[in-house]
Amino acid sequence: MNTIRLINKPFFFLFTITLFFTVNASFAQPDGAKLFKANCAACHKPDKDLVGPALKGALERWEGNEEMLMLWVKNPQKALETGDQQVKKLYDEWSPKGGMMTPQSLNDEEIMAVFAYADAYAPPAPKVEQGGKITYVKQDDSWLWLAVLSVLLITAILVLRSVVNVLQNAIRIEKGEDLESAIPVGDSIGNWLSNNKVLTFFITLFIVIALFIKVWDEALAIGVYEGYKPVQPIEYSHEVHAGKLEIECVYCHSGALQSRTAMIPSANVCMNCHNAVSEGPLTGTEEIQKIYDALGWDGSAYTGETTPIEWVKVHNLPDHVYFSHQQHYVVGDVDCTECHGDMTKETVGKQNAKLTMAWCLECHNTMEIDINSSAYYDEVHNRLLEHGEEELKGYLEDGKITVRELGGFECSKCHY
Amino acid sequence: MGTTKKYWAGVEDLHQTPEFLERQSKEFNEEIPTEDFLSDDRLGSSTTGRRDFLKYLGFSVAAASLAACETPVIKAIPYLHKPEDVNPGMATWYASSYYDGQDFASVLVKTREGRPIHIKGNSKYGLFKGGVNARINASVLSLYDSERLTHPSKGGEEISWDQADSDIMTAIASAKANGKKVRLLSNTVASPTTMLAIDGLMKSINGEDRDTASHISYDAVSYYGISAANEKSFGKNTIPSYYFNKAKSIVSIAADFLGNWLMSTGYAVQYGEVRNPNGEWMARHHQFETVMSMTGSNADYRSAIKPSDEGLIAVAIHNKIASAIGAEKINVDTSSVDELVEGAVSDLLNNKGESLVISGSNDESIQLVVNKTNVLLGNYGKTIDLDNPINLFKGNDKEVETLVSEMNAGDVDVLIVYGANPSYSLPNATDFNTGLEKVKTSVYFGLYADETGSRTLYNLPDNHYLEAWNDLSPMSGEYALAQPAISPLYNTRQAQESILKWGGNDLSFYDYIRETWDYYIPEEEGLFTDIWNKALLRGVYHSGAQAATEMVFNPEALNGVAASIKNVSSSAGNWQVVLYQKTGIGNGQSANNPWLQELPDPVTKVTWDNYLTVSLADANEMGASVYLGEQDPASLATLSVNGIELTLPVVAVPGQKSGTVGVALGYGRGGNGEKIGKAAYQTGEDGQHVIVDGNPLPVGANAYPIVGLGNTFSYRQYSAELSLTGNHYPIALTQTHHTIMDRDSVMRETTLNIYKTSDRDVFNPMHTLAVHENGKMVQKPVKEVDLWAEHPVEGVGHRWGMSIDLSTCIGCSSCVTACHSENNVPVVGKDEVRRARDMHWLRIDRYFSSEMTKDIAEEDGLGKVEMYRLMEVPSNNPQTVHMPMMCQHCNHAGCETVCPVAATTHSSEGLNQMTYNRCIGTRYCANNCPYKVRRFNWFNYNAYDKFSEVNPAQDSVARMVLNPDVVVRSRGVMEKCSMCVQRIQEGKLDAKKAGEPVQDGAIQTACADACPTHAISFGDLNDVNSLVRKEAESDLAYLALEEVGTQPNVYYQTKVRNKNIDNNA
Repeated sequence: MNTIRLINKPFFFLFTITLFFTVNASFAQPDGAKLFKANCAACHKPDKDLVGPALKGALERWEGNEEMLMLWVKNPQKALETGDQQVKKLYDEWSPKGGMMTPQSLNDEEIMAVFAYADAYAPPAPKVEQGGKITYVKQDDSWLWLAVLSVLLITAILVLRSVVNVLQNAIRIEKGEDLESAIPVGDSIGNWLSNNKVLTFFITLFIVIALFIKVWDEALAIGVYEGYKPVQPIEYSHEVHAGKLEIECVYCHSGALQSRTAMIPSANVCMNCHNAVSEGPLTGTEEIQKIYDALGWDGSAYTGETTPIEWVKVHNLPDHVYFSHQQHYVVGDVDCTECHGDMTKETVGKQNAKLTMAWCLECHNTMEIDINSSAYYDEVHNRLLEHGEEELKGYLEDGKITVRELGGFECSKCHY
Repeated sequence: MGTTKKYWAGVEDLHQTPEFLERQSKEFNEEIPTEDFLSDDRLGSSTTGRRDFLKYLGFSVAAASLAACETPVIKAIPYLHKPEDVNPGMATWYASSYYDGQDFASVLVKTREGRPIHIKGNSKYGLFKGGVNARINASVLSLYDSERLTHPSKGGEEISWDQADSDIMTAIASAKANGKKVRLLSNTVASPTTMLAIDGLMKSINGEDRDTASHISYDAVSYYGISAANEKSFGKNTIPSYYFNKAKSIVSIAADFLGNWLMSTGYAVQYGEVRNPNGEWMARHHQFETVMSMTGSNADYRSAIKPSDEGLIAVAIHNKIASAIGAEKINVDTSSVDELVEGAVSDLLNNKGESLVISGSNDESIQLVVNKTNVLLGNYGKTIDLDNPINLFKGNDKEVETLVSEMNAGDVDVLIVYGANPSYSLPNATDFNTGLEKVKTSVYFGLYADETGSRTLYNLPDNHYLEAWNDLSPMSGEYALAQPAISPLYNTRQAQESILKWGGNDLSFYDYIRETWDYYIPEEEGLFTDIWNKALLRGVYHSGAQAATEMVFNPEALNGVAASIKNVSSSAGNWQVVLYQKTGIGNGQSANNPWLQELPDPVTKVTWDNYLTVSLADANEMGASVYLGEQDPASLATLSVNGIELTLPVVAVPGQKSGTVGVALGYGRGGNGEKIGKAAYQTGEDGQHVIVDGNPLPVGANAYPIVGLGNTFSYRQYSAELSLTGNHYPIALTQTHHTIMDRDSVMRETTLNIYKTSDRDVFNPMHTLAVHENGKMVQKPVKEVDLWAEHPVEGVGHRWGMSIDLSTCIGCSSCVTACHSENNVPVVGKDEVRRARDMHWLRIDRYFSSEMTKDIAEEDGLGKVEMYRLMEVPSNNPQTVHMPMMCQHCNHAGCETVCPVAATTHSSEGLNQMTYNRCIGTRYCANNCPYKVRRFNWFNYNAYDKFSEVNPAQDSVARMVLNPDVVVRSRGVMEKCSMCVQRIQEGKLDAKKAGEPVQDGAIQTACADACPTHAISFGDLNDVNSLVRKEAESDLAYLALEEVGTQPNVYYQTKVRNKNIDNNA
């Protein structure tokens, strides 16, 4: 069904107006999930206790004392000083685990949105691997077996050959003929090749083609470091932080929110938690101590003696490529795992994707843009309606507008 | 049957000679020196056998190819404590201020990961709307000069700051005890707090009643004549504020007020406001000058005069106005110039109180006449404001001359030099240098061991302005703050801290500024912290201006003026000399800045050189080369003035007065091999410094010694000799043609009254092409004749475009350096520029008018050949047009169709994209580009030896200035203007994040940002409300070379001159 014919301008005008109001309405409401992830997720979970208590049911627990709850979130110290019993109880119970809660710069409405999100929270169903996704097959070690096999085969051929020789000589002895010295291996291969020219041609052709394909494949892999996982100065575990503790990626890699680089977090970000947590489940105090040494933290104060941590950069793009995390994560709403894979099962950083241009374009080709997501696209849309009927038809043919259709394949989107 | 034929190898074979038979048994004909070879003893001792050799060879080939595939391990070192406002990958901007003794500007400093990489004007809050010039844009590069002083030193030996402090304090104490003098010599200090610190030091030395110490200031290029004249005229020893934006008639007698004169950055902004043909009114500009200056090239009426006539012109204007309004005349015979000034006088009389007469002379008498003229016109209190004077150029020429004699008399024990380079820029630098040897303790606060620094005992390196705190008051009532954008790169200390310390004040300079501001800002204005933070954020603080009043002229001031002017005009010799400053180099402080050296002069288009400008007629008469090019070097000539000789190439400039020579100041820096930066020296064809007598040869020659001494420094010499040496010298210029040959498809111009009274067809007719239709010849608009289908960018999505107003473009070239800085454009050096391989993405084409036009040729019955030959000759006093030219981002681009590898393509947003990594360097695109804006990378500019002395990307420190968002191009690829696509992408991203359409003006290209007159506007042509769309649709808009059918996205606005008929027409 060609939808273009159904669309006339007044209809679209109405549509745009409606859209405008819906967008505005949704803007007015603070997004509890986002706020929770950005501000609370480092210490709280909606449904489980972490460093701090589960937020689910907090409203119920604090019923009648909501004002104090608000104060506690905004300024815990002040709340404690009021001498409120519920606050004191909370403090006594939880402060040994994670210290005093950090004051949050949220307004009442936003705080309510966070609690509402926590109350409505249902743990996601365990992830099922979807079909149709690109999967990267791990290379196996079959070449080793092939080598062993071929050595065995060659040995067998040589043994059999000498057996044949011995037997032939035995026959000659039987017949009383002269003993012939064995034909050298090289000569016999040569004889065989000249007797089977057609076969030889095809074998040679096969070998040449196989070699060519192999070299081609290898050449394509030059500069592609999929799976690159260098040894890092600190044996950090994404599994513990992002996996078990479910800390949001952007809590540490906050650059993704505002910059082209996602950033290796500065050590002061670590200290938000490791101020209190000095022992980890995997390496005990050893690795965490390295952060303290780098920062010059003696357990209670900064000594001022610092040594920068020299991480090994994992994702290296060539100079002529401009990539922005902000563009993809914030504007494009691409999930981290799309490119970085499931880091919740990894230790230190690892390059999950190929990072080749073909890999980029694969996604630009199919990724759909939600044209209703912002007023920026409304403007683009309006201009299309007014001037670009031909283009619009093209866009609507498959019912979606992809990154490619808005210029995602053009050189100077990434190269300048 | 077998053949029985026998073939002989030769006659010898046939005859079987004995020699042949002997040779037959040998493999080689010649004697093989086997014995010699094998008897070589070394052979046996060699440890490398043939097989080993092959093994090594094989291994190294394999290792090399493997290593090529190896990933280099790249380290990433994050902050330990990340500052909250620094985000890696994102720019942080700081408001600051620039002042170097010559230019002042409110600037914004762009920093990336803590490194300043770009400077632009603070257009929102800054003084003069943040007007900047090329020198200010380029100043960011000087921060990273690897030849800056890195530590304090005494006599060349490194010392500690503590030792320096104690040494100098002891020296001061002993000078005081011995009754000797302590002198602080500086440029004009525009910082009120620094002045306080200096006063503090002076007071602490002098105590109650002694006059051991004093502070003397001077300016490399002096304006003392103006303040001296104001002292006499009005009793105010200051330089007033001029408001060019209130003047409907501007008359300038040799003042290059758009490029160098006084606060030129501000005047350029004001000038731009009143040169808009669509404004309420358009100012008319008359210029009288000797050398064609950038300002003169923008004048509506320009007269070429001899320097000795400047006084006569001033008096002629004065007398005519005086007689018109019945005031007293000055008794000088001006009949020789009366005709020239008539137009200017009538404009002035028509705009009394809304006009401005200025003079670029440092001669007190001329300034007095100009003052009187402005009083007669009632301009004081309106276009001239003496109640709010500017605080720049307060130098006192007389005091410097006294200081030099004191030094030579051995009276000065301690001399502290701050912010000035007297050993270079004083007219009597030789005397100063001799005197300096007699000074026991000489101290220099400089950035380099330059002419002065290499002669002083102590070098106490100052911070670069981007590393320092400062406050400035460029004019009364206005304050600006300068803040550091980076920690000091080296072991340097801000000069003010030393001054404070020696004066017994232990505060840091930052604290001292705050304390001072806190003291002076009235309490009723609110909390000091708030005021301070706001001032710091915006870079400025206004304390409120005085009301401007009319001035009463002291009639006695004019006594002796007539005699002095008569004296000058009668003393003139055969040749007269004018010393001027160039837009790039100015007074010579930035001679080590490769961006500025490679910046073509707005008028001559010469780079990397200083030269003698003469008129075309004189050049022809002397027999000097007039046409200069790659294979056509300039003639060398020797100019001698008062026994000082300068040998420089001769460049003939249209518009120069015959019988005069112009020489630029600011060249010939580092003549004794001082370390002032690599770019200050000449490079040969191999790109290495040209060494003469063990020292590198500086670019150009120093013209300061020609400056006349006397009551005021004089930048005119009325008697000189000029003779060709017979030698030639290659010169690098970026534009060799002079005229536009009467073609209106590149350049269009009209006059204001035609524009205001006629239809578009008269002043900006549509281009049409003749086509056959139904057997008839018809004229069709260019757009209807096309090989290609309409480009889909029309109306859909974004379509980035630009509009350039030729009426307000003054040719200042600020955009060119801004483009250099933003886009990592390489510097290629003189030799490459000479070969027309300059890399400027944006150039400013300068066209002169010619006496010959098609109409005149028809009248005179000239043949076509003769007509075109004459058209190539510019007029003696031509009209000039400056036309910024960069990639036009054609919708039907010629380059795109010929690229065999699709390395240059069109984006859906109307940009002509250049993909360096696809480019294989066929250069077809450059061949096919009608605008000649594509630049080919002939060399690996960032690694090849030839560019090691000029290209900042080759210096390990200077490369920190590179913009990390733009790739550094390599050899073999084509490059060109990208319309700052990195900024477009960033702007769109910001808009998408904010969830709103891209606001008009939110995205600016570097050139548009840098333009002080807002001649360049950039935006989305598909946005119906955008400024650029409105300009593109205006009656004045045209496309360059429209008939070619390229359909550019860059529009030009027809140049409108304010000529003829009434003003305000």
